[in-house]
Amino acid sequence: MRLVSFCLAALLALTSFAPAAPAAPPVQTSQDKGMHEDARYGFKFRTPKGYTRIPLQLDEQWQVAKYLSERAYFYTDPDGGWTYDHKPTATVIAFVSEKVREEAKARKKKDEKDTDRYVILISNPYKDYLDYMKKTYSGGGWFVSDEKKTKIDDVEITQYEIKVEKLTRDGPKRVICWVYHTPEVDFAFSWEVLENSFPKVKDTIYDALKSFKLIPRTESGLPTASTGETKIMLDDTEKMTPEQRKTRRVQLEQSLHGKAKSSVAPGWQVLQIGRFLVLNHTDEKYARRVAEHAEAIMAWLDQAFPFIGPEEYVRAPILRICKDQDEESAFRTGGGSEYYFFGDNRIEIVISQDNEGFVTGWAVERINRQLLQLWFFERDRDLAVAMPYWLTHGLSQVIGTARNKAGKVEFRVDDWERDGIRERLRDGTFTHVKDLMKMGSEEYMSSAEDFFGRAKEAGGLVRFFVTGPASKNAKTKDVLREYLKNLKATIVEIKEADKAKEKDGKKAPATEKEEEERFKASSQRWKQREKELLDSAFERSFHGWSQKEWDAFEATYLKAVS
Amino acid sequence: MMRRSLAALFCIVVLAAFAHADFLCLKDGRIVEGHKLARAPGGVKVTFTNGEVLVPDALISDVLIEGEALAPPQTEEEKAQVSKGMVRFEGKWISPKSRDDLLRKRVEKRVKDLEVFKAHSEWRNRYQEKTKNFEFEHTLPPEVFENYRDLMEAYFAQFLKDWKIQAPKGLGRLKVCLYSDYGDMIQTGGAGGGVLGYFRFIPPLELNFFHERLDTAFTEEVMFHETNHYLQKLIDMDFRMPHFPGESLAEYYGASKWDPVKKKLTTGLILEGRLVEVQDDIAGGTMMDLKRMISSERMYEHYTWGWSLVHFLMNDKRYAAKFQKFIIALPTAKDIKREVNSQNLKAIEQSEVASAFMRYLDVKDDAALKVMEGEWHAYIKEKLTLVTTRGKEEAAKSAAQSGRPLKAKRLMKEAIAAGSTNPMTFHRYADLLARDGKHAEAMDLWKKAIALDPLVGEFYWHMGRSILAAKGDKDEGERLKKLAKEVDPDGSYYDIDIEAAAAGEGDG
Repeated sequence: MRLVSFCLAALLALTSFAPAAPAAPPVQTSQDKGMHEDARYGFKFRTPKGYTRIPLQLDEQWQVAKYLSERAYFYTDPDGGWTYDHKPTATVIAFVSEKVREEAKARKKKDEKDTDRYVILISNPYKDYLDYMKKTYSGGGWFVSDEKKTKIDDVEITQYEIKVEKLTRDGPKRVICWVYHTPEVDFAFSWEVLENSFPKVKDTIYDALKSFKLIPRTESGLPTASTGETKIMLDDTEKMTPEQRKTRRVQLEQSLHGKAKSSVAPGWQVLQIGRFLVLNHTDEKYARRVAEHAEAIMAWLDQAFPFIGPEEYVRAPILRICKDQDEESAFRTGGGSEYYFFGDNRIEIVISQDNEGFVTGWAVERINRQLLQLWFFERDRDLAVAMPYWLTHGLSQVIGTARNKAGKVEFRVDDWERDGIRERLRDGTFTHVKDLMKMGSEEYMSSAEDFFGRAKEAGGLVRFFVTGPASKNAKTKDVLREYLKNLKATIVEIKEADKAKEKDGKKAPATEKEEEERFKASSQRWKQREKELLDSAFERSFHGWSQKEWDAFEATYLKAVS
Repeated sequence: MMRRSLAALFCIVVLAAFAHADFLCLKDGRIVEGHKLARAPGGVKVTFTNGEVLVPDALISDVLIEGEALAPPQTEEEKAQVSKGMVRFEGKWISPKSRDDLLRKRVEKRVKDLEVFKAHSEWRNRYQEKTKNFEFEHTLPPEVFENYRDLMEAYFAQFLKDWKIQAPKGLGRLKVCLYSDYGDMIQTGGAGGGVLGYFRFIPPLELNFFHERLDTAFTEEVMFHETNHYLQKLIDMDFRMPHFPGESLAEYYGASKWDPVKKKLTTGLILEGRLVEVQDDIAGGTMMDLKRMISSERMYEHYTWGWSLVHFLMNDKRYAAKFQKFIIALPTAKDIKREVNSQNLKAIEQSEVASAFMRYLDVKDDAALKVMEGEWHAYIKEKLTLVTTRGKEEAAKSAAQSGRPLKAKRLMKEAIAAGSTNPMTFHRYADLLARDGKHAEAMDLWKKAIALDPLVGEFYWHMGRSILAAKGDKDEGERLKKLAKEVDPDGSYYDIDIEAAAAGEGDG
């Protein structure tokens, strides 16, 4: 495989501006007598039998209905012999016409303009169904194998047959999509099935496609703003006071919670458990247990690190619990953002009931890690971003094993971590504590083997500080907290120094020689900055420790982890 | 064959009275339809809603213009024959009816050919062709494809000869999928963004790459690289070549040149794109540690610094044979530890690769490896230089992207002075000048870029932006931006509008 190196301008990561996309109002739909009706967009179709309605993501702007088959079909790779399962999906995607979008855009141009607000308008990211497929489909390499135009009940329809053949994740697939063209909206009703199961599923597909009808739009106007345009407003939250930030976050939280409640899919339960808004599609007992556990994790974080952003408001997350992994995967697909990104427009944690037990299951571990990330980013974004790998991985490892027991958080042993450390000790590849804590990212990630090996070591080290002997020793019990404070102090100093430099101004280089020198300095800056952070936080935290003390510390640590 | 019929049809200019939609086929496979076409000096004029664009003859493979008129009679003889009601057609004077019947048949055939030509741009109607060692599937114009076909066969034979490899019996043909652009390869080939081509090393074996019409030399590099993975596999079909030296060797062969006249393949040239990346690392203060490179898994630098290492070793008499022996030994030699991976292929851990590298190249210890590292670094600095205009263009592009506009502008200027015909070089230079506020100079360069390839929307878009930034004719600026969308409806760069920057139009 030939690769090209490219640097993405990580706009959001590099600025302290936080996106504040206003949440589009949810689309009201109903599902009665086997029909799916959407009065806002004005369409209906016969709900396929044996299919479950999948909720839409809160920031979804294109999909307007989604269904997942309850039955899985199978494909066995003739070369490798592996068998994969796949559940057919049906999705309706709405493309608002250029004319309607232009009118909506003209109205929105009158938007307010604040000094500290940047507005990025991404209009029409998807031109039509094929463009949408091109930019969002991840099930393998595909091409249009057939395309026909027809007319049903005076509605122009383009019928696409798409074959997914190369680098497919779970076998060759077929996509059948009919695009219903109306003056204001094109509705693409798209089905994805395994190629070998198509003969078995085709009647269901074509029945549903033929049942698709336009109905009068009886609810609030066509949601033009949310289907033709993405508007991201970046507020300079750094210039705000904690109180202003709190007001802003509370508003966003209310808006997102409101949207989540009003767009809940049939069969889903809405529960308010503590600070968590729970959208549940599994048994209520499990949902309550998970939410109470999550509440305990948040309380533990508040109590363990009270000095981090004490005045900052942490928004109450939305916890969505899907029935199973397939439902979760179907929920995640679409044109919106995906996975573990928390932003102003996303405070939702999505898991699925994995039926592997509350204590040992992967679902709870994932919740814990997402809560850790959300908590740190809400309390102190700079600190969250600047944490060295050993600390990020270590905290993530430790929190992953936390379980609520009668309102108290207990930490379990992580076999993967413990056995990995032992193996590295045996192999002679173990990283000494001091080296690990001062290690830059390049060295930390020098190979996949080292990366995972060091993640295990980081877990072992942070666990040693949080629950191991170091947490009970007078000299070391506060080391982790002190390290975080010192890291923060270093960040503040660096930022102040940067601001001072900015005031001095920066002239453009006049010669190529100056330009090259600046390029060299800039290329090294990131590494230097990282080194500065690591060295300073380390020196401040372990100032005055003798080699003898280090030896004793490491001996106790090794005894604890091996 | 399609190529011959299209070439012959291009000579026909008389299409009066046969109504068909206008249709323009470019040599690189692009098609313009749905817009009014007219012949103009030097090419064909395309009328868009927001302006006219002249496509030069040099880019055109074929054109069909609805109701194109006959040329008026010029000579006395012509006038006399015309007065008798005769018309001259292909050197003969014939009746209008005979001419019309003949033309009708030809136009009908021609329309059919053009429809076939257009249909082949869809993967479902792709061309399929078998050669001695390959089974091609592609959507390129046949004359563009033929070059790659011949190249790959020549390359196959040469590599096996150079490395004394015997192709396994019953090997069959390798399927090669060649796409007409990058987007098609990502979509149909299923590769992720950033991938320029790929070789599927588990059955069914398959090679995928695309034709970059603005930089065909680049396409050849990718083709040589990906094909080399296949050729490496021929050493032992059950072996998974490690990332180093696999990718580095593939890059070494990426810099090959095929002389279609002499039918000669030259390998091991300077891979200027990768050299630029290495030179940028050096300028940024980074020198690659040899031990780290040969013992690290899946490093990006295996493509860049790795290429330079292979170039150094293959061009040093002390190392060339040893290095080749090392490569051949990896799949089978008894002194190298292998394990079977999850794909049922023999594989080697990178640490074992590093040990084998040192053994086979007689590098006794880390100190000796440091000596070799010094020689390699010196070789890069002293022997590897950019030699072609394209090399300068690559370096200029990289300098512009990494915040070194002075260097970028100098190199672009040199490339243009050396005769560059790459419209992107003119465009990139114009863009940098516009950022300096030199809008008039920028405009001249964009006009030259458009003269070289008038169907790149990006050029019009940036011209429009430049006019608006210079507080010039607002209507003209807006018109050009709209024209960009018409010329290249698939472009996405114009869909992002940063309002805060829009106040000053950004460039200033």
